[in-house]
Amino acid sequence: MAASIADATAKRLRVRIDPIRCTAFGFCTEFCPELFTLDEWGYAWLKQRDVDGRAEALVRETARLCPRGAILVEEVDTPAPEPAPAGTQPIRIRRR
Amino acid sequence: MTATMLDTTATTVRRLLPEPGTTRESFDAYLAAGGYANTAWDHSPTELIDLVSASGLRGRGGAAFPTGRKLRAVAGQPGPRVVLINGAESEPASRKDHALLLTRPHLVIEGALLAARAVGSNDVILYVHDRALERAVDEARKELKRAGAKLPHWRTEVGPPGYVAGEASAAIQWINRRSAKPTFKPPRTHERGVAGRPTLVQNVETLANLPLIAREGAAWFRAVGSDDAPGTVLVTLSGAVRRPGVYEVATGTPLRAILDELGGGTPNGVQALLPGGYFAGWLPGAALREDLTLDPTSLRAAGADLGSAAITVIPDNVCGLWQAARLLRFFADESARQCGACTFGTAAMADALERVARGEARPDDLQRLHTYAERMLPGRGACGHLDGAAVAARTALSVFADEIGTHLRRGGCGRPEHSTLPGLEGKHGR
Repeated sequence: MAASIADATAKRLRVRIDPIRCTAFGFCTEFCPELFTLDEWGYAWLKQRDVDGRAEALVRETARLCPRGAILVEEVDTPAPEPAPAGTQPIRIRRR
Repeated sequence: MTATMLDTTATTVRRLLPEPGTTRESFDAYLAAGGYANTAWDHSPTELIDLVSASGLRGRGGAAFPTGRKLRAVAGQPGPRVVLINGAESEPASRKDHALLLTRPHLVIEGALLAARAVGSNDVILYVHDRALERAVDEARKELKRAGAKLPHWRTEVGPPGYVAGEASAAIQWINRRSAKPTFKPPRTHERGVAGRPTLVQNVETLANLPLIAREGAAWFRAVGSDDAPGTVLVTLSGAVRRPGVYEVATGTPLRAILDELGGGTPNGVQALLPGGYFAGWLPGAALREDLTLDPTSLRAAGADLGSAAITVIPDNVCGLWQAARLLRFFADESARQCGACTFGTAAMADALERVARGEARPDDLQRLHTYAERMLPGRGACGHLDGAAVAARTALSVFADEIGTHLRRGGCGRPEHSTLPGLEGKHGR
């Protein structure tokens, strides 16, 4: 239980590249080679998607430096579980 | 042989498709078949959404997203909200939405109207790229109005042809800015779509299921089909079958039975097939020998996916590798050229596989193809186009592995090199 609370409070970041905006300046790889690399055409290619909260300052600064504003940093929120399909429950059907 | 197979398997279930020979189901005929029933329209919007969730219906446009969840997401957004019927069936191997709109427009209209009720929308847009579909729906809508029905605001948008123009965000971009190109998400269409409003984008076949679920209930819907994707699915059979066409089967029906009984058999064998359209991957003909059924779980286990259930059969008497190369060229040609990885990646994959097919491969071409398809390109496009291309390449590399060896050694396999893929027929690449 304690572990799940710790997990819930540990900040996780998700980094995404808007591929329409990215025009292969390559600043991201220069500034943060730990996270960004380039594909063979020079476009930003993420080494991983999710980043520990401790790297937040570096990642946000890299995003700010992108001349195209193509790097998105968002906090990962745990999605609410979807209720399972309840098809076995009786469904009331009225007849005309 | 044939007789025993007929007993066991692919009897068509007729839920969505009309009786054979129907050109367009009239309002009266649709009413007589149970359409626009009070039982369906007595449900509150919340009840409708609950019912669709309970039914387990998943989108039939290719992504198989749970429809109930989508309805709920749109309904939870601030209004005004929009319902967009996506009738731009841009998959060349698929004709099922086309068939449905032409023959049973009322079923689709009622589905869209129920969806509008469910999400609280007074704005319905039909997005198609074929005027004939617009006419069929307009005629049906007039009949409905003459019968005294009060309809939400309705308009039709005729978009351009093109593979990516049928993607949800491309449809919205067309309506908003007359540019039928996909956009980066977020914002998602359920948050900001047509005119910035929360928009429910739903495939034609998906909507056609709603009147039936609303009328007959969730348990009735689930009584047919597999657990992971209940109900029926419209399949478009094409390629080397005797009777190509649009058929309706329960999900979970054996693929072999679909080809033999509905398709009339495969006189020239099955070298390979695309079970779910051009974006859902290749399967080897040998996969048919197993208990391969038409549902996401079985097809994924075999290495492909249900996609839009457009099944294309490649016979033994053409070069399979050239079909795979032609498909990669299609993805390159159809790229919207917005994302660098897609613009260059799709072309690089097509170039490399064509060189392999010609027996002119560079030493690293095969390795490159694996890298592109498995590591470098997946997940990097604004829409699913690049992923579709990567899947087409990745599965081709394994399905046509022997062919690749033959072509690398001998420059060909001696079989005709023309494409038999629907919409992409003809000579290519030499």
